[in-house]
Amino acid sequence: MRKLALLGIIAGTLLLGGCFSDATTTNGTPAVKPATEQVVLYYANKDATKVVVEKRDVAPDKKTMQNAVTQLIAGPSDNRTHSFFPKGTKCLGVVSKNGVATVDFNDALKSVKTELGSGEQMLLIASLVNTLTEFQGVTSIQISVNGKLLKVLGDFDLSEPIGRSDELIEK
Amino acid sequence: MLYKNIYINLLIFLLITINCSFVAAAVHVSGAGQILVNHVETISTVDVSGNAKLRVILDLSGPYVSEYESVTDQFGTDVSVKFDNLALASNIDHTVKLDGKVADSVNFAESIDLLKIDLKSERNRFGDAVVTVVSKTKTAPYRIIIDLPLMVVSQSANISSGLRGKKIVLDPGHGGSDTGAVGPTGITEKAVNISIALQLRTMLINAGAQVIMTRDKDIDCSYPNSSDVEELSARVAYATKYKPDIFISLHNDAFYNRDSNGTGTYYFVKSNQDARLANNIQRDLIKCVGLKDRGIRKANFYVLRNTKMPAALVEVAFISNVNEEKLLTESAFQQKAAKGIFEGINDYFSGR
Repeated sequence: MRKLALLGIIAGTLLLGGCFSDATTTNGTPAVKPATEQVVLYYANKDATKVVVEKRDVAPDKKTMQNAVTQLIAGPSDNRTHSFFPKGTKCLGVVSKNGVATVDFNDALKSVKTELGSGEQMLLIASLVNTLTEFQGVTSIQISVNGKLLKVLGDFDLSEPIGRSDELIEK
Repeated sequence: MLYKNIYINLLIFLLITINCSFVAAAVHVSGAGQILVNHVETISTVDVSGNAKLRVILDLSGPYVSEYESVTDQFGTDVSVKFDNLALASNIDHTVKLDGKVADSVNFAESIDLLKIDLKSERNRFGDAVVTVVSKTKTAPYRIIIDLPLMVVSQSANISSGLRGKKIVLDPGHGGSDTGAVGPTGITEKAVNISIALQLRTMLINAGAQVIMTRDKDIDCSYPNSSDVEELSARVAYATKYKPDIFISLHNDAFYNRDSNGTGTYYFVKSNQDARLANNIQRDLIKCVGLKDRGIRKANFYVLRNTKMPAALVEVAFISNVNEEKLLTESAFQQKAAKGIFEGINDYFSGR
């Protein structure tokens, strides 16, 4: 019976995606369902000048780094904010070692070169690193495409692991 | 009401007491009351804006509850952190050599009930160390984390008024097999970038400057369909050969939201000159083109961090915005943009 209830929550989360994630929390009061955990996601603000935080409740077994990145790609629930990722981008996996999370994507990520300016490429990195460093033990990230580590993403230097940026978060 | 408060305070006090006795018990169990450092890890990282820091991670035998003190010397080249009741496990080296990007080495000095950790650099200056004591997790032991930020040393630039004899690299972004961003009607960033760069070149040459272009036509700087890093490193290598005074990369911006608009300039802090260069260009460019001011911002961009001289990356306008895409194709607008950057460069050399 308990398993069934948990399945229900997972199915609900999957079905609703980001669209109605606010339904499970109310500002300032505890989550209605204690069986959920929070992920903290960072999206683009309207004009792509900063990243904006969005907190979502997910079933505990959905609180993985790969799911968080998949939700970053899928986009925010609020239409005043935006995903930084090009259409068709898929997160193929996240591996964390010694505090460095390596995020693997498919080829579609490379179209940031024709879709984004340099500043927006930097904010894409900020949205990714800020989201993943919300997970305990992760302090920086690297990016790979089909398993091959990137040295740059567009104009952005990725020659060493990139740490979190709080100065790019919209307050 | 008063009783209720007292009750809550009492409860908090009890909780703290329980917590403390639990921690104390744990310390006692671990041995002679002294915590051991079982493993040392150092990682140098840079954040999204290019701020570098060194992180020293100490894996501990138990929870650390004692006092510590961090001292930075007057020159900022030597930081030491003293930890009470901490000692090194016998297999840990007393010196860890580093790559020198932030610090040259980490040294451990032990005395009774005290461990002193020294971080030194021959050429860099540090900010104050930030010490974080971290609880055990499912995958990691109790830890002490020391973060040491790198500070930038001020550098005198080759500044003297006027552009005569100044060596300036212009780097029109993208080109050849790389279109850069593409506007709503198909205008490419590579074409707009070079149009503005060529007009800027004429202005600078007329003022007596020596101008080096990473490309002066629609080509790849390395070879067609090269990797992104090969292309960017070819530009930096070419520019570096000439030992220029400044490096200016010309770009245009793009975002999915077609309403996004305006002008922005990016820099990487290599000395105290980079922000000044970006600021002069941004201010004068806004004056000339009159678009929304998106300001200057630090960024970990390849061409900015890998060039030795002061450098700026200019995003003139949003090619993804219908109005600004149209403006970018107009010769009069390109002229205004070139003039704005020209004035900014001129103001930079005049020491403004």
